[in-house]
Amino acid sequence: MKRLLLAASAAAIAGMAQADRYVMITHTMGTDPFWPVAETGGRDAATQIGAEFEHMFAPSGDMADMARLIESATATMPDGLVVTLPDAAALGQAVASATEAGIPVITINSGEEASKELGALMHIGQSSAMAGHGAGERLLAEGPVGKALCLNHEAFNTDLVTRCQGFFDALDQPLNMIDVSNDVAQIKTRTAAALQSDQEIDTLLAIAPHTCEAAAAAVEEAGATGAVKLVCFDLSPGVLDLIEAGKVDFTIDQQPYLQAYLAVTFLNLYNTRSGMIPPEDVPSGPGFVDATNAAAVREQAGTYR
Amino acid sequence: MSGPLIRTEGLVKRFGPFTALNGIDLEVHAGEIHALLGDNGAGKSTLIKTLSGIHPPTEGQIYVEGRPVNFRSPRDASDAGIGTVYQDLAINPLLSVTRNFFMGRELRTGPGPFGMLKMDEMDRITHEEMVKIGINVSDPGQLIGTMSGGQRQTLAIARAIHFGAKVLILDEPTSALGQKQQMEVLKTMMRVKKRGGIAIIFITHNEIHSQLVADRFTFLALGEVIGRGTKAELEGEDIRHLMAGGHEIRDLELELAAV
Amino acid sequence: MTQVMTNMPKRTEADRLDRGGRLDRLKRRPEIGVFLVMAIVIAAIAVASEGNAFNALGLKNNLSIISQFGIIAVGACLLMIAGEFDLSIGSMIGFAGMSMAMMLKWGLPFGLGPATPFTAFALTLCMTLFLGWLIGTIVVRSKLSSFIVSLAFLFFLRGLTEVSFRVINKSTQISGLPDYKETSWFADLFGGQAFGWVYDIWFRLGGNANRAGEQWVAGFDMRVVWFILVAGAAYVVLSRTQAGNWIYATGDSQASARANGVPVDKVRISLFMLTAFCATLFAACQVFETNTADAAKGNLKELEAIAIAVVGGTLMTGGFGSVIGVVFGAVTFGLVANAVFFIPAIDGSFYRVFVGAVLLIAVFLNESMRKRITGGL
Repeated sequence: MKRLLLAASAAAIAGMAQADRYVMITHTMGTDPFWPVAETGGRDAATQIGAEFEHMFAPSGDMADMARLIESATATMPDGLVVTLPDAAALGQAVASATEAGIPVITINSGEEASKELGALMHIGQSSAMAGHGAGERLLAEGPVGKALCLNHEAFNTDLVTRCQGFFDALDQPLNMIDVSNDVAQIKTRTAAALQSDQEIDTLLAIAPHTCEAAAAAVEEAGATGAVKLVCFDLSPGVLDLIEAGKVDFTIDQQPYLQAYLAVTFLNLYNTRSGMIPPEDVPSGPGFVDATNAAAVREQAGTYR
Repeated sequence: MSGPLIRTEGLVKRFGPFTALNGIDLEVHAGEIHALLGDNGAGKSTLIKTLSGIHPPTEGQIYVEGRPVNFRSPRDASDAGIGTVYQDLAINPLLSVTRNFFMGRELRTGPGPFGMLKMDEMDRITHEEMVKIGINVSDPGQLIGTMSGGQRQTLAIARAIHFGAKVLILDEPTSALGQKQQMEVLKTMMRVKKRGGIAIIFITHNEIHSQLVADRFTFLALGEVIGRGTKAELEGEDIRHLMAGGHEIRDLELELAAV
Repeated sequence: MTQVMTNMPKRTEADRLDRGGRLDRLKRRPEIGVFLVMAIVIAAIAVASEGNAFNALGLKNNLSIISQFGIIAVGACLLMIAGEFDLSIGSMIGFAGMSMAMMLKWGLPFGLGPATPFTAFALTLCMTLFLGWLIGTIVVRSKLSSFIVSLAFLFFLRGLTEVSFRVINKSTQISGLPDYKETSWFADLFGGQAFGWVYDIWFRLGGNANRAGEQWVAGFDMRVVWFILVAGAAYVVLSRTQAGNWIYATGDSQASARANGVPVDKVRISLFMLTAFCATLFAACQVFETNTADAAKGNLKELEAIAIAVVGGTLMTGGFGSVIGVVFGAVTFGLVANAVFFIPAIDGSFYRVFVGAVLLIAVFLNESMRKRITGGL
């Protein structure tokens, strides 16, 4: 109650002086195509409600730097914080001090488990395990699956490994994953090499759009078109082309636009409608994009999707 | 006898308040080895640097073959025929003999720096020049790093001569070498002298070496000439006296004894 | 006394270095160390992958990666021989890729209308060459270590790439561009294929067939051709031209080179422009092959280029190295980075372990070879 009062008074003071200000802090290093889409979502929501919006990130990718960013954002007393929590142990302290200072916080994308405990209002995102599992279930529903292989472009990223793990759990197979690197030429050659060295592979899971595009080229090159099914994570115009051409079965969309858009909207409702907030976490995915909706999604790919 | 190849008149060089050279008159003739002796700080290296175009003189004039010259860069000096072989020799140890010999002045066919090197011709010239100066390099493709210090010194001298040096300034050419290699360098100097037409300025600490090869001596102390003469004019005792900067050896002995 | 004299050996100083026979001279070539490593790697991978690494597709793919590494490593090698480093290669690749893809998608800057592959490449090349010139000029003028100056550009260019993507493109990735190599011969020069006849003959001879029995691989990637061109030109320049002598002289001892009239500064600036050119070529091959670009492109490639140059026998302190060695180094490095994936028994994540091991072994071998050649320098 006390916190609510504090937040309300803070919002009131800020409201008198100027428009609401929402700050989003994410763990992107700035180079991946995913976060600009989320940023657009947050910005659009802010524009619609007449608020200010900032997106901050630590280009080093270092969690300690990100924690400093959260602390300095807290110090500016914004009307709401939107944070990702890829490492709750490293960021928890900073997030907790923000919530204790009475700033409403919503976690997005990652950190579902720790969200409530740190005093955040809610979490909006897609559980990696659930999304991987969803991809596997959907494939099984389409027909029997032989041997699968997961193409990981960041093998040391535990969250990405969880995607692969969830997928193989659904298929009831042991984890079979290779590190394809982040270089498109090498993704292609390594995938082709893996297909050649093990002819039993009939399903590929690419967990990023650029991996997906390179893997499609590799499948074609290995002469395995039709024999190998490719499913992917996330969206890009190239992936949509491949879906329409029938070279990619479907791709999992965690709808990053939605994550930031909803977070800013919910924070605003919370601030202006006396603490209005959904009682449960809101999943933003998995959404599926396949041949049936690819054309509609294409219009907005890269910016909204 | 023709005039001196290089002559200086009242050469003064000041660095701010410090006077490094205080009116140096020097004459060096073709076919002669002119030893320039003096203690550390006597002004030897300033004099060389002035002659080879690194420092412009504050006052005074340098004449090459009787004509007054004003060097603005080392390039000017080397164009005027003054070749300086420094202690560090300006040699690249990881390059072959030929590539060092022609460094910066390679022979090529075709335009600009992308012209093809005439490697065979360069190898041949290098070999010939090295033989002329007394070293039979078995393989001009061998790396300089594998050559002895004396041979490197010789290469630098041969290079300077080949590219038109009439006055050869050798800066302490024997100081960093072993006994045998020192002799090799002295022999090289004698061979160059025999060819005639080239004047050698030989900077050294070593009175024995200077007595072995030099025809004429100039002694410097504190930026001034304190003595000069031909080999015939100077006795061994004089040389040692002048080397010590004009102090009597006996005085020095007494000073040492008093410690 | 006279007796002693007669016992003197009738040898001169010059005779102490034995020129030896043809085999001896081959053994003394600087590339011999990396050649041995390469031979072992090729043999080991051929056996372990049951020939898969060198079947029709394996050969194409491995050569593709080798060439990609090779193009930037040759540039890095020449620069290292001249005694400098360029840590901005990777970021330059990202910058060039971004620039080309962005022009193709959003048109030329300053409202010059839509871009063709040629104009996008040409304009990008002008910018990267200017950046190379700028890095070189800063190094030469400031007398700072090129390590630091190019490190600054590593950050600067990566940041610039990222920001440009975000501001203009709203996304840090561009994909789904039209397939320019279908419509433009110029794009095909970078992203297309070459030496198709090799694979045609291979197919006629009964190999090169896919699962369905049709002709499998149509040709090598164009970057193989570019690698051959770049390496060939670099070899000739380095070993046969005046410029080559200047490069060696500059790296061995800058002061000596300068004293002998070598235009040391021009040599260094030109070589920074060369690495920028190689990075642009790398990016062009990727952009026109895949029709994509992203802000992370080329990440860490500068270190890989330097690693290959070192594996190829280039001395980190300059003055020593050869293009042939770098070609062998690229083959070794490319195979090791790629070929583990042909071997089902070994987990792919091990490739970095192998890369590290090969790097160390090659460097040790090169070091001892070099000591033998130069007499311990």
